[in-house]
Amino acid sequence: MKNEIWQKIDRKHGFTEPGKDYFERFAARMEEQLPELEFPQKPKITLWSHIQTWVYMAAMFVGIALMIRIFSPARNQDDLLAKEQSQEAFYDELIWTSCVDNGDVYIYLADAYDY
Amino acid sequence: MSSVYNEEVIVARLQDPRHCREAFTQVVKQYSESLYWQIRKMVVSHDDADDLLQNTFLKAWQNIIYFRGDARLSTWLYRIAINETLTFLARQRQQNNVPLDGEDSFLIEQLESDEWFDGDEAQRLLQEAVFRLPEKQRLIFNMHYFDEMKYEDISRILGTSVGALKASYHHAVKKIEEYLTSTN
Repeated sequence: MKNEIWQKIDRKHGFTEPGKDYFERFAARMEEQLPELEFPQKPKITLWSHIQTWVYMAAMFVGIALMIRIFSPARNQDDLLAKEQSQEAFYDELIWTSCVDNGDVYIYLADAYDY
Repeated sequence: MSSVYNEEVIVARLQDPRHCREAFTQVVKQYSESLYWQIRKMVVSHDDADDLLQNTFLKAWQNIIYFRGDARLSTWLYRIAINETLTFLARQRQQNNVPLDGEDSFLIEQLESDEWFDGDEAQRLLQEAVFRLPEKQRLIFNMHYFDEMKYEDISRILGTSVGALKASYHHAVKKIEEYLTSTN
Protein backbone atom coordinates (compact mmCIF):
# COMPACT_ATOMS: atom_id res chain seq x y z
CA MET A 1 0.00 0.00 0.00
CA LYS A 2 2.73 2.43 1.07
CA ASN A 3 4.88 1.57 -1.92
CA GLU A 4 1.89 2.04 -4.20
CA ILE A 5 1.40 5.57 -2.87
CA TRP A 6 5.02 6.56 -3.46
CA GLN A 7 5.08 4.94 -6.88
CA LYS A 8 1.93 6.78 -7.85
CA ILE A 9 3.34 10.15 -6.79
CA ASP A 10 6.73 9.46 -8.39
CA ARG A 11 8.52 12.55 -7.01
CA LYS A 12 6.19 14.96 -8.85
CA HIS A 13 5.05 17.95 -6.79
CA GLY A 14 2.20 19.03 -9.05
CA PHE A 15 3.11 22.74 -9.24
CA THR A 16 3.40 24.13 -12.75
CA GLU A 17 5.60 26.79 -14.33
CA PRO A 18 3.73 30.10 -14.30
CA GLY A 19 3.55 30.96 -17.97
CA LYS A 20 5.82 30.30 -20.91
CA ASP A 21 9.53 31.19 -20.59
CA TYR A 22 9.04 32.42 -17.05
CA PHE A 23 12.67 31.78 -16.07
CA GLU A 24 14.12 33.55 -19.13
CA ARG A 25 11.87 36.52 -18.45
CA PHE A 26 12.78 36.45 -14.79
CA ALA A 27 16.53 36.60 -15.59
CA ALA A 28 15.99 39.57 -17.90
CA ARG A 29 13.81 41.35 -15.32
CA MET A 30 16.39 40.68 -12.63
CA GLU A 31 19.21 42.11 -14.76
CA GLU A 32 17.28 45.37 -15.14
CA GLN A 33 16.61 45.60 -11.41
CA LEU A 34 20.18 45.16 -10.22
CA PRO A 35 21.41 48.42 -8.70
CA GLU A 36 24.93 49.72 -9.29
CA LEU A 37 27.49 48.25 -6.92
CA GLU A 38 30.24 50.20 -5.24
CA PHE A 39 33.34 48.10 -4.97
CA PRO A 40 35.72 49.22 -2.19
CA GLN A 41 38.84 50.98 -3.54
CA LYS A 42 42.02 48.98 -3.11
CA PRO A 43 44.42 50.91 -0.82
CA LYS A 44 47.61 52.23 -2.54
CA ILE A 45 50.81 50.45 -1.51
CA THR A 46 53.41 53.08 -0.48
CA LEU A 47 56.98 52.80 0.85
CA TRP A 48 55.65 53.81 4.26
CA SER A 49 53.11 50.94 4.27
CA HIS A 50 55.98 48.54 3.52
CA ILE A 51 58.29 49.70 6.35
CA GLN A 52 55.59 50.82 8.78
CA THR A 53 55.61 47.59 10.83
CA TRP A 54 59.40 47.54 11.13
CA VAL A 55 59.54 51.19 12.17
CA TYR A 56 56.93 50.59 14.85
CA MET A 57 58.80 47.52 16.08
CA ALA A 58 62.10 49.42 16.25
CA ALA A 59 60.46 52.33 18.09
CA MET A 60 58.93 49.92 20.54
CA PHE A 61 62.27 48.25 21.33
CA VAL A 62 64.01 51.62 21.76
CA GLY A 63 61.23 52.68 24.10
CA ILE A 64 61.55 49.51 26.15
CA ALA A 65 65.35 49.94 26.39
CA LEU A 66 64.94 53.53 27.60
CA MET A 67 62.32 52.53 30.13
CA ILE A 68 64.60 49.83 31.52
CA ARG A 69 67.44 52.38 31.85
CA ILE A 70 65.27 54.97 33.53
CA PHE A 71 63.33 52.69 35.86
CA SER A 72 66.20 50.60 37.28
CA PRO A 73 67.42 52.81 40.27
CA ALA A 74 69.22 49.97 42.05
CA ARG A 75 71.61 49.56 39.17
CA ASN A 76 72.25 53.33 38.93
CA GLN A 77 73.08 53.61 42.65
CA ASP A 78 75.46 50.68 42.40
CA ASP A 79 77.21 52.35 39.48
CA LEU A 80 77.59 55.65 41.34
CA LEU A 81 78.85 53.94 44.52
CA ALA A 82 81.39 51.92 42.60
CA LYS A 83 82.57 55.06 40.78
CA GLU A 84 82.88 57.00 44.03
CA GLN A 85 84.77 54.20 45.76
CA SER A 86 87.21 53.86 42.89
CA GLN A 87 87.87 57.64 42.95
CA GLU A 88 88.52 57.60 46.71
CA ALA A 89 90.94 54.71 46.37
CA PHE A 90 92.78 56.52 43.60
CA TYR A 91 93.36 59.65 45.68
CA ASP A 92 94.35 57.65 48.77
CA GLU A 93 96.94 55.79 46.80
CA LEU A 94 98.21 58.95 45.15
CA ILE A 95 98.74 60.67 48.48
CA TRP A 96 100.25 57.58 50.08
CA THR A 97 102.72 56.93 47.28
CA SER A 98 103.78 60.53 46.89
CA CYS A 99 104.07 61.13 50.71
CA VAL A 100 103.84 64.85 50.20
CA ASP A 101 103.71 66.98 53.33
CA ASN A 102 103.21 70.74 53.84
CA GLY A 103 106.99 71.41 53.79
CA ASP A 104 107.34 69.83 50.36
CA VAL A 105 104.48 71.94 49.10
CA TYR A 106 106.09 75.17 50.37
CA ILE A 107 109.40 74.28 48.75
CA TYR A 108 107.66 73.48 45.51
CA LEU A 109 105.76 76.75 45.54
CA ALA A 110 108.88 78.80 46.42
CA ASP A 111 110.77 77.20 43.53
CA ALA A 112 107.95 77.79 41.16
CA TYR A 113 107.41 81.46 41.92
CA ASP A 114 111.00 82.42 43.04
CA TYR A 115 110.17 83.74 46.51
CA MET B 1 30.97 34.95 -23.67
CA SER B 2 31.02 31.22 -23.09
CA SER B 3 27.61 29.63 -22.46
CA VAL B 4 29.13 26.82 -20.36
CA TYR B 5 28.71 27.56 -16.67
CA ASN B 6 31.97 27.23 -14.75
CA GLU B 7 31.65 28.13 -11.07
CA GLU B 8 35.33 28.99 -10.54
CA VAL B 9 35.35 31.36 -13.52
CA ILE B 10 32.04 32.89 -12.46
CA VAL B 11 33.23 33.50 -8.87
CA ALA B 12 36.40 35.19 -10.17
CA ARG B 13 34.35 37.38 -12.52
CA LEU B 14 31.95 38.30 -9.72
CA GLN B 15 34.88 39.89 -7.87
CA ASP B 16 35.83 41.96 -10.90
CA PRO B 17 33.84 45.24 -11.14
CA ARG B 18 34.08 45.16 -14.94
CA HIS B 19 32.46 41.73 -15.29
CA CYS B 20 30.40 41.18 -12.13
CA ARG B 21 27.04 42.27 -13.58
CA GLU B 22 27.37 39.97 -16.56
CA ALA B 23 28.57 37.11 -14.33
CA PHE B 24 25.69 37.63 -11.93
CA THR B 25 23.18 37.41 -14.77
CA GLN B 26 24.67 34.01 -15.57
CA VAL B 27 24.25 33.03 -11.91
CA VAL B 28 20.58 34.09 -12.04
CA LYS B 29 20.03 32.00 -15.18
CA GLN B 30 21.80 29.03 -13.62
CA TYR B 31 20.04 28.94 -10.25
CA SER B 32 16.70 30.74 -10.64
CA GLU B 33 14.78 27.59 -11.55
CA SER B 34 16.00 25.35 -8.72
CA LEU B 35 15.64 28.16 -6.17
CA TYR B 36 12.18 29.06 -7.46
CA TRP B 37 10.86 25.52 -6.99
CA GLN B 38 12.45 25.30 -3.57
CA ILE B 39 10.68 28.50 -2.49
CA ARG B 40 7.44 27.71 -4.29
CA LYS B 41 7.05 24.33 -2.60
CA MET B 42 7.33 26.10 0.73
CA VAL B 43 5.06 29.11 0.13
CA VAL B 44 2.65 27.68 -2.53
CA SER B 45 1.73 31.00 -4.17
CA HIS B 46 3.61 31.86 -7.35
CA ASP B 47 3.48 35.60 -6.65
CA ASP B 48 5.06 35.13 -3.23
CA ALA B 49 7.67 32.76 -4.67
CA ASP B 50 8.47 35.31 -7.40
CA ASP B 51 8.91 38.11 -4.83
CA LEU B 52 11.06 35.93 -2.60
CA LEU B 53 13.22 34.82 -5.51
CA GLN B 54 13.80 38.44 -6.48
CA ASN B 55 14.70 39.33 -2.89
CA THR B 56 17.08 36.38 -2.77
CA PHE B 57 18.99 37.53 -5.84
CA LEU B 58 18.94 41.18 -4.77
CA LYS B 59 20.43 40.25 -1.38
CA ALA B 60 23.01 38.07 -3.07
CA TRP B 61 23.90 40.92 -5.44
CA GLN B 62 24.22 43.46 -2.62
CA ASN B 63 26.55 41.10 -0.75
CA ILE B 64 28.42 39.68 -3.71
CA ILE B 65 31.61 41.64 -2.86
CA TYR B 66 31.77 39.75 0.44
CA PHE B 67 31.44 36.33 -1.22
CA ARG B 68 34.92 34.85 -1.25
CA GLY B 69 34.10 31.36 -2.50
CA ASP B 70 34.55 29.64 0.88
CA ALA B 71 31.20 27.89 0.31
CA ARG B 72 29.76 26.90 -3.02
CA LEU B 73 27.74 29.62 -4.73
CA SER B 74 24.69 27.33 -4.85
CA THR B 75 24.95 26.65 -1.09
CA TRP B 76 25.19 30.37 -0.38
CA LEU B 77 22.17 31.16 -2.61
CA TYR B 78 20.10 28.34 -1.10
CA ARG B 79 20.84 29.68 2.39
CA ILE B 80 19.69 33.17 1.42
CA ALA B 81 16.57 31.77 -0.26
CA ILE B 82 15.68 29.60 2.72
CA ASN B 83 16.20 32.47 5.18
CA GLU B 84 13.95 34.68 3.07
CA THR B 85 11.32 31.95 2.85
CA LEU B 86 11.32 31.16 6.57
CA THR B 87 11.10 34.85 7.48
CA PHE B 88 8.18 35.23 5.07
CA LEU B 89 6.39 32.18 6.52
CA ALA B 90 6.88 33.46 10.07
CA ARG B 91 5.18 36.73 9.03
CA GLN B 92 2.36 34.77 7.34
CA ARG B 93 1.86 32.72 10.49
CA GLN B 94 1.61 35.89 12.53
CA GLN B 95 -0.94 37.37 10.13
CA ASN B 96 -2.98 34.13 10.19
CA ASN B 97 -2.71 33.82 14.00
CA VAL B 98 -1.12 30.38 13.77
CA PRO B 99 0.17 29.17 17.16
CA LEU B 100 3.89 28.34 17.41
CA ASP B 101 3.32 24.57 17.31
CA GLY B 102 0.34 24.77 14.94
CA GLU B 103 0.07 23.47 11.40
CA ASP B 104 0.36 25.82 8.42
CA SER B 105 -3.24 25.17 7.37
CA PHE B 106 -3.33 28.52 5.53
CA LEU B 107 -0.95 26.94 3.02
CA ILE B 108 -3.39 24.10 2.35
CA GLU B 109 -6.12 26.68 1.69
CA GLN B 110 -3.78 28.48 -0.70
CA LEU B 111 -3.00 25.23 -2.49
CA GLU B 112 -6.70 24.58 -3.11
CA SER B 113 -7.12 27.96 -4.78
CA ASP B 114 -3.76 28.01 -6.60
CA GLU B 115 -4.16 28.36 -10.37
CA TRP B 116 -0.61 27.07 -10.98
CA PHE B 117 -1.16 23.72 -9.30
CA ASP B 118 -2.43 20.96 -11.54
CA GLY B 119 -1.34 17.86 -9.65
CA ASP B 120 -3.59 14.84 -9.51
CA GLU B 121 -5.38 13.67 -6.36
CA ALA B 122 -2.36 11.74 -5.06
CA GLN B 123 -0.04 14.75 -5.53
CA ARG B 124 -2.53 17.07 -3.86
CA LEU B 125 -2.84 14.72 -0.90
CA LEU B 126 0.93 14.49 -0.66
CA GLN B 127 1.22 18.29 -0.60
CA GLU B 128 -1.42 18.45 2.13
CA ALA B 129 0.55 15.91 4.14
CA VAL B 130 3.78 17.88 3.58
CA PHE B 131 2.16 21.13 4.77
CA ARG B 132 1.23 19.38 8.01
CA LEU B 133 4.90 18.72 8.75
CA PRO B 134 7.01 20.97 10.95
CA GLU B 135 8.84 23.59 8.90
CA LYS B 136 12.31 22.02 8.99
CA GLN B 137 11.04 18.52 8.21
CA ARG B 138 9.14 19.99 5.28
CA LEU B 139 12.30 21.64 3.97
CA ILE B 140 14.32 18.45 4.30
CA PHE B 141 11.58 16.35 2.70
CA ASN B 142 11.26 18.73 -0.26
CA MET B 143 15.01 18.84 -0.82
CA HIS B 144 15.58 15.11 -0.56
CA TYR B 145 12.42 13.69 -2.08
CA PHE B 146 11.44 16.15 -4.83
CA ASP B 147 14.84 17.68 -5.66
CA GLU B 148 16.78 14.47 -4.96
CA MET B 149 19.50 16.42 -3.19
CA LYS B 150 22.16 14.43 -1.34
CA TYR B 151 22.14 14.59 2.46
CA GLU B 152 25.69 16.03 2.37
CA ASP B 153 24.52 18.97 0.23
CA ILE B 154 21.46 19.57 2.42
CA SER B 155 23.74 19.43 5.46
CA ARG B 156 25.94 22.19 4.02
CA ILE B 157 22.91 24.38 3.31
CA LEU B 158 21.02 23.89 6.57
CA GLY B 159 24.04 23.46 8.84
CA THR B 160 22.57 20.22 10.26
CA SER B 161 24.40 16.91 10.59
CA VAL B 162 23.70 14.17 8.05
CA GLY B 163 22.48 11.87 10.84
CA ALA B 164 19.95 14.43 12.05
CA LEU B 165 18.78 15.01 8.47
CA LYS B 166 18.24 11.29 7.92
CA ALA B 167 16.25 11.06 11.15
CA SER B 168 14.14 14.10 10.19
CA TYR B 169 13.47 12.69 6.73
CA HIS B 170 12.49 9.33 8.20
CA HIS B 171 10.03 11.01 10.61
CA ALA B 172 8.62 13.10 7.77
CA VAL B 173 8.04 10.04 5.56
CA LYS B 174 6.32 8.21 8.43
CA LYS B 175 3.99 11.13 9.13
CA ILE B 176 3.17 11.50 5.43
CA GLU B 177 2.42 7.79 5.09
CA GLU B 178 0.18 7.91 8.16
CA TYR B 179 -1.71 10.88 6.73
CA LEU B 180 -2.07 9.30 3.30
CA THR B 181 -3.29 5.95 4.64
CA SER B 182 -5.74 7.70 6.97
CA THR B 183 -7.28 9.68 4.10
CA ASN B 184 -7.61 6.63 1.80
